[in-house]
Amino acid sequence: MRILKFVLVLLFTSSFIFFLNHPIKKEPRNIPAIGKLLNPFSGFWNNAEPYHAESDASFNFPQLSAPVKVVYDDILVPHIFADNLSDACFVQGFIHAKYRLWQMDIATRATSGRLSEVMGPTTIKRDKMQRRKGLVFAAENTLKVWEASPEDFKNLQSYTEGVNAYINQLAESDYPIEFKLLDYKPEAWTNLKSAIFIKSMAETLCSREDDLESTNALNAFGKEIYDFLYPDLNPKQSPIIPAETEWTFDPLEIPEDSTSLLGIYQHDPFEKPAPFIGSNNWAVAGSKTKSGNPILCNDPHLRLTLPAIWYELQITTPEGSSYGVSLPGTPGIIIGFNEYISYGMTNVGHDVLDYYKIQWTNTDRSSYLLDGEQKPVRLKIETIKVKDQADIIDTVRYTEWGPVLYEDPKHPMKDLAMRWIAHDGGANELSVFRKINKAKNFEDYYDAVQGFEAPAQNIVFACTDGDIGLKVQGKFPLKRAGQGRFIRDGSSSSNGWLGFIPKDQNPQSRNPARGFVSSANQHSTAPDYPYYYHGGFEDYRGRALNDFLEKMDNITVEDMMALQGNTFSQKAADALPLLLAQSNYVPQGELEQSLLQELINWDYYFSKDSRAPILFTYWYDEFFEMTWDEIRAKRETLNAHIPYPEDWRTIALLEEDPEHVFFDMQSTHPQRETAKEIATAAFATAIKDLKTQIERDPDFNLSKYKQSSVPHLGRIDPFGSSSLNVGGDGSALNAIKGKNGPSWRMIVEMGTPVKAYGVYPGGQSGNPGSPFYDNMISHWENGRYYEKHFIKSPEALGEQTLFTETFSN
Amino acid sequence: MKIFIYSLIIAILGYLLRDLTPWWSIAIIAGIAGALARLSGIRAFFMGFLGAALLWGVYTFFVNMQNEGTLASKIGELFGNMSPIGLILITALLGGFIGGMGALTGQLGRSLFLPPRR
Repeated sequence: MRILKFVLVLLFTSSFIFFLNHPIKKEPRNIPAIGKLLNPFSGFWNNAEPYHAESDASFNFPQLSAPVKVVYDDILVPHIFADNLSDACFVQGFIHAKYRLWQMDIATRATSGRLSEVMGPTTIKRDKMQRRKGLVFAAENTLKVWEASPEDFKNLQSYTEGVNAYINQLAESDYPIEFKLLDYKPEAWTNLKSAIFIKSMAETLCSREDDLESTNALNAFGKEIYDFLYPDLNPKQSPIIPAETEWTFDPLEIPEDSTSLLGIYQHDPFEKPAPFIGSNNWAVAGSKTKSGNPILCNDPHLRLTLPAIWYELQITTPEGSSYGVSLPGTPGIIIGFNEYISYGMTNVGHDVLDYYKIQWTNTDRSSYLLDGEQKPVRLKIETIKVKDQADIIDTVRYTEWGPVLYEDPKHPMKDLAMRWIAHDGGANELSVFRKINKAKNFEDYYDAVQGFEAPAQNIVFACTDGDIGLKVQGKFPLKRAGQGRFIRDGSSSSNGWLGFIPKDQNPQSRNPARGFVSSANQHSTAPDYPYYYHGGFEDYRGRALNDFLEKMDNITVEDMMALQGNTFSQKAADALPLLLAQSNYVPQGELEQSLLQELINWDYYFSKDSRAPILFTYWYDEFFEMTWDEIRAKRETLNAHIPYPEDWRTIALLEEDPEHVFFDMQSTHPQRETAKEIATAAFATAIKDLKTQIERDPDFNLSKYKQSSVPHLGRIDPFGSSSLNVGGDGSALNAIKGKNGPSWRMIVEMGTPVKAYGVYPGGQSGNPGSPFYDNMISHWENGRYYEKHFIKSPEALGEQTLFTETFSN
Repeated sequence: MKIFIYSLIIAILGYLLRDLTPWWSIAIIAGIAGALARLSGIRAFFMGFLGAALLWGVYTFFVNMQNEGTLASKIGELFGNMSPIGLILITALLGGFIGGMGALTGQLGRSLFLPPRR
């Protein structure tokens, strides 16, 4: 009897502990092992960092060639002092891992199509897509280029060793909380993963195209209407490179384009990166500033996440000292400044991804037609590991063009291959930081940025010697006029790119007469640039930015801060007077009257506590929808994707031809509407919608309408920020839009010494249990900045020193 | 009194061994105490429960205090909007139950060889 009791209790106790030590299987996501997660010593409690308890530490790593000293300042920014760049990269890797290990892991998993291994079956579709896009193939090609430069490769190797040095000394109880919740272990970092990270940036920034949708539109409407609806160039544009710039080079000869393809493509296009997320950069010459020093500003906009995409730091070697933001997963600093120069980036919208229709020559699709010959495809077997499930095997077919992305068993003759610039090994990104860290003038900067090819960037520059400049930096395909907008015939190699625009013929500007250089994702050049390019460009912010800068004088750093936070919308300024002129809506009741009055008096600023911008947005969106009912109808009848015309095109049509047949609603035939009826009807809907909101909440305003927030990278809701009290609009410089916005705001005054200010919506630590996880969000939300501690020695930080880390060899 | 002394010993040992042993070692520590303490089953359970709950509860209370509730309030949201104090209580109860069951197991194991003293 006693034995039985003992055995029963022993069995119960041990199986209970076993149960607590294992995750509970559940769709779509397992419940983490309760005991493992909840216990005080190795569970989540161990990630709850004590406040105000930072202390000095020292480490010993034989990989280092000399001791390295790191001082952390009051917002946990490390200032690394090393004897050489290789040692600095080792410590940077160590620190990236210390603060952002899970982010590094999940970002490279997401890019390379390895999420299902830790997330389970819900991410299989996404993983398959990533494998199709060949991002690892692209990274392998890049790694080969990096390996060919021993000096740079050594720094990467050190970075990887630094990351792994951290991982190797990490106890399970100290794993970042996300590993505990998702129940997996960190794996070793590799050089390839750093290359994969670079490719994730290319995917985000230069994989946007609408070849399939445009091809459908061309077929559905014919060339004349297509050209009318989707013109390449906005006549009101204000290009990045000043229009008066003269091209001093002899351009290459480009033949005419003659191919065209017909056919409706009913594939669902792959998920694409968000369009026009919005980034700005500019530099003003000393002639326009109060101090006489050039000032450089940059706010790159990206999808906002916690942990933030950026990690801030200073790296000092005997060759130079740089400060700025880095990408956890890669060595060096991406955007920043040194003692002589500063540099910043916005994205270039050129279309560098084109689709080619593949003609298979056999039913198993193992060969295809190219220049009259049968070419075999290269098969790449992709094994997708899935948590708690059998592996999934997918075969990706690689052609001369690139991988075949779209495959449709019902239309085997309409499979499409992708030609993407980021698949090419291209340039040596690693060399950029090595060179820029010691750059002292325009020539050094110009030489350093050659290492960036994809994603192409508008790289702005300012120097303490007074120079300013901007280079549209990247590798751009040489195309015939119009090439790349539509799917092309992949059976003839003559349909391919003609080569690349010679790099020294890329658009650029140095010390222009107007006293400033700027970019905001708009067209690179005026139409007289000798090479054709096409892509996604946003003109409203660029126009507003250039207008503001043109008018400004005696500029101070505070003026520049205000400009980064400026919410003026050129789009609203263009559209609203036209809409108001058309509408003959008679407001009913006091509320409607006052709302209409607010709109009439509106200054076109998307201020967080105002209501007029909501009414405008509702109105414009409804007007847009009603105007393009023909597009929606075509989409439905053809069951295919067709793009909507751009905003500027819609507004131009309203301005130039309010009687145009496109303003007629198809659903009301034989009644014939013009812009007048549409604008009036759209306003009625808009004001009704706003009234409903105000009746529900009398304090309803733009920030409540926007509901912007910074979500957690792994969509663990409580790890994201709460709702933010912000204004802004996609068409304004302060382009906060949903969960996108300025991922880093930086202002650098190029005096002696250089003074810099910056902020990003996040914190230096990736640990949701750290006081430094999201501490900078409130500054960012309120348009405030941190003055940067750009120090010459570890001791110079003085009282701002939080703690010190000493790395010895 | 003896129960409390044993409970305290369990808590102290658990604390000292926390980084060297797996999280469930508190059950074994309580088990050994249960085997040595010569208590009735219920009392042994109570002793183990108290010792482990004390350690898990007080420890997490201080962790949470030093963290100003930052992480616990986020994790609490995952557990259906539980407050940090609620999470500390759950943690303490869970630890207590494991400790209690461990002690009871120890007590029963010992009783195979020696009758318990009343």
